[in-house]
Amino acid sequence: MTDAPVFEVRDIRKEYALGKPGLFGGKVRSLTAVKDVSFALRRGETVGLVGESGCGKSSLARTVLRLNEPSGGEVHYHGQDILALSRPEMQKLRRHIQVVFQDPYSSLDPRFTVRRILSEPWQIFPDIVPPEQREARVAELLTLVGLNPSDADRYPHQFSGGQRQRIGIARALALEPEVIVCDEAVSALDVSVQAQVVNLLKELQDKLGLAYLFIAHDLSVVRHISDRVIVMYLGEVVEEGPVEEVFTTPRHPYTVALLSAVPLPDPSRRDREVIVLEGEVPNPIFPPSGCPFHPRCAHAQEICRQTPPPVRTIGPTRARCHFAGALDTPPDLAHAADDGPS
Amino acid sequence: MREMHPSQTTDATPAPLLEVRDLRVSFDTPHGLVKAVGGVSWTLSPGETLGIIGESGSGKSVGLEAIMGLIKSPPGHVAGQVLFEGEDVLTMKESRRRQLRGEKIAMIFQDAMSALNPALTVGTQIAEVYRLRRRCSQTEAERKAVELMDRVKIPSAKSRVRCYPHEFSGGMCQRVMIATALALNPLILIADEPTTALDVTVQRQIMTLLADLQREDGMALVLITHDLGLVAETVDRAMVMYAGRVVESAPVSALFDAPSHPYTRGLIRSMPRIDGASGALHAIGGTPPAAGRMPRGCAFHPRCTHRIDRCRAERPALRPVAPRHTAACHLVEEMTHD
Repeated sequence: MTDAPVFEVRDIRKEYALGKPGLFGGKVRSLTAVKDVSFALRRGETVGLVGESGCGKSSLARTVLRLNEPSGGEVHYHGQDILALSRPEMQKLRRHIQVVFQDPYSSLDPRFTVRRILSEPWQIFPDIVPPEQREARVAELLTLVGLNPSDADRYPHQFSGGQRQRIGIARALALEPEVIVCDEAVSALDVSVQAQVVNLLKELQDKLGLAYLFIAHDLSVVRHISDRVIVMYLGEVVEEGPVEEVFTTPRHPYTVALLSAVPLPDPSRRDREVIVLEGEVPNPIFPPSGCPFHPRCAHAQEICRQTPPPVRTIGPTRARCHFAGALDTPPDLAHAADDGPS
Repeated sequence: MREMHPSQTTDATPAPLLEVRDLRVSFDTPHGLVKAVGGVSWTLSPGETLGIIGESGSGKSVGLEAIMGLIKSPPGHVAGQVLFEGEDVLTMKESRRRQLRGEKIAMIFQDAMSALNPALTVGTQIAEVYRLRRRCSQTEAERKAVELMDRVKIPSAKSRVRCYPHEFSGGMCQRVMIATALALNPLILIADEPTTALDVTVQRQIMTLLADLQREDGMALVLITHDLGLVAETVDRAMVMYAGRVVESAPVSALFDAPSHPYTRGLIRSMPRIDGASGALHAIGGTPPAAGRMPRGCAFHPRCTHRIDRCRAERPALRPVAPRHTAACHLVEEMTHD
């Protein structure tokens, strides 16, 4: 792992205008989906991004890829601000930053053979693989993701969900990227198959030095695959840090509640104390005053209702909470860290 | 075969509320008859929570849909016996079956948002069954709807009874569906992946609600899920399904402490855990067989690392491993000691 980040996001922001101004102007309400998020990805590193539906994690992914234009902030690839690039320049750069989507059923064209799916990126970037080597390269890619070179002549519908996700990964690898954004890439897969794909992603990372932004709602998978983790709530980063730190000594009450809510595959721990969060994520069009989490927080004080909390640094972790570091870690999470897998 | 009904052999078991015997479900398809469920037997005691675990295509939902009479025939074919308080649900008159559904057995589904009618208020939908069966007035029905919404802890029920489903979040829609199912105080609630579409903190709220409701009126619950964590935390007894058959059935603690079927072991080991464990996950190689392309012998043998010649030729029957614990594997003795 070298020190200079391959990919760096600084204070990225995405607002959506709700409706258009009327004939005489007037104020248009807006929704802030992503609020000043920063992170860096180094070679061979995985940053996990977790949060519940509507927290802005997919908006963030789309924004850093410039699939949606950001409302503010900077995105650097090897120190170069990609937001300043023109369309053709951006298109050239896309080969370095690829995506694997959630749904392997809808992200592959059903009319194309696997060969065509994998070689299509080379139509746009012909220099990567010279035409006479493409046949061999398709076979190589298929082998790399654990499929058979003879699968090149088959169509997506002839594969299972897990195999299609492998094809999606092979397609992302066709352009030899440095960064892959995995947007819920294993969420639609069955457990036994999900494990195969997670292992594959890790192997490829070791082999090729890929950097992953791994977005998922499944906290167990994120813990397993990530080096660092970012927890989002209502468009904001509420906590970030090394994965072991955040999962064993979470500093933000939301992280604590999120981790506590995950069911453990261990019947003997069934009676442990679990934090049940009341209510639901507030409407992002009308975010709460002060700390956005205060209406659901068991530790909320007057200050939380009034003032947005600053980011506090506790050891290697950063948490956006007035009381970060002053709250006790629930014994069950701390305990969970000690005994590990059975 | 005696081994097929392990729960009958223990003396402490009360008379079952529901008894499923050799349930088979198959469908006519353009490629011929496809078996979805191939001979499944189980029992459910009053107040018990049974978990049915399986991956997509394992037959876990289809079996329960057959019990509820939700399989259209043709193309579906349902065989076997489903005894509710001694009466066979599968052969009874449709009118009697309708009566049973709702009054005695109710079911909730994964996607509450699409299971509800978008054009009717939630109150109307919650009380619909009650109004039709109890022949009460609209006012009385609305009062009942509010009462049920209170029971499933929908805040300010009175003012929200006339809301439409789109005004509710996913978690609230699932509560509405639970309220609908509870209207006639059923003895059995079948919940098919009730929290799969929900966020983890909302899942926790719904599971807590189901546990509270069960405690209040001793309703039995059948939880169909792919989530081992949910099973470990919720159920008394669990059944693991693979390729349309039960491969293991055990009290939940035994299932996790001493899993005896290679598939169950594989599932538990392939799961990343929130409480630690890094390094490569122990994935099960291969993929589950497609319906209609079942391997001969044990359906799991192509993916099994322990397979012997016999597994290719002969399908293993469920055999007792311990009291109330059965597994369908030729090597079950070796498995349990290793």
